[in-house]
Amino acid sequence: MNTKQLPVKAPDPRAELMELRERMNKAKEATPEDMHRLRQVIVSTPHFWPVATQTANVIREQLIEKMSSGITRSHLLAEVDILKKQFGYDAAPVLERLLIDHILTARLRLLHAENYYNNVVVNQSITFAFGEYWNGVLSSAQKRFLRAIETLAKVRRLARNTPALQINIAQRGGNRRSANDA
Amino acid sequence: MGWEQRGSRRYYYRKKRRAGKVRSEYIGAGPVAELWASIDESEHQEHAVKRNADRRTRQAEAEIDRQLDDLESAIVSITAATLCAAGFHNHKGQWRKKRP
Repeated sequence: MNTKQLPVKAPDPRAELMELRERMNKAKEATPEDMHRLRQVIVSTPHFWPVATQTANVIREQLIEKMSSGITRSHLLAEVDILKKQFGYDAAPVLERLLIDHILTARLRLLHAENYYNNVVVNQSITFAFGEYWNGVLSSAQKRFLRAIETLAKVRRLARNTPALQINIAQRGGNRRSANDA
Repeated sequence: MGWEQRGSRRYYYRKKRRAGKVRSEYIGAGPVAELWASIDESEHQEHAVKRNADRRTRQAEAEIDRQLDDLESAIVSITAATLCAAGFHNHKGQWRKKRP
């Protein structure tokens, strides 16, 4: 008889995170247990942060590859670096870095959509449906960019008076940093 | 495409959809009709190539948007969770600090 135990399926931290968030948003007063559990989930899943940043970088690279070649690519990459600096990426806390990365990705998506829209809609004869489709792509890219900027602005405003935005970003061990640390 | 047999001869008709109905437009028979048929055929092929290219473009764009949607939802979750854990709550879309 095979006595080997099947591995216990670990709960999906992202699903738990979403569930907790939803429950706390619905409740008028979040329970201290939920607050504590949420904090634990965030602290115990530091891998979420680099994954999100890496995903943003991969999408950005794909977009840059699609949009440009040679000199234009160098210009775009340089522009991304300049904007990163202007947003204060190096000195920003972890959460803000994530949001800055997202803004840069959303901005490239917008540039890509605008570029394509100009080439396809303005310079060529196309069907009404295709033109409408590109209008939709462009407007959704604009909305996404705006949302990304607004999120960073909100977080920066809230973080001004809240030194307690603390997140453990270490892969192992207890290298805990405040989200407001440089 | 639009060749129709009438007795021993073949005649070329161009099919067009107008107001939801397909209408046949007589073009002719013989070498002139052959020429028109080949022109129509090449136009048809050109449209098919363009349609395929458009479909591929749409698929690629949809894939980028899907990835960005996933990323955005992850970032929203992380941001909201971090704010909740720091003692904020969402009141009608506005983040507020819990009163002590």
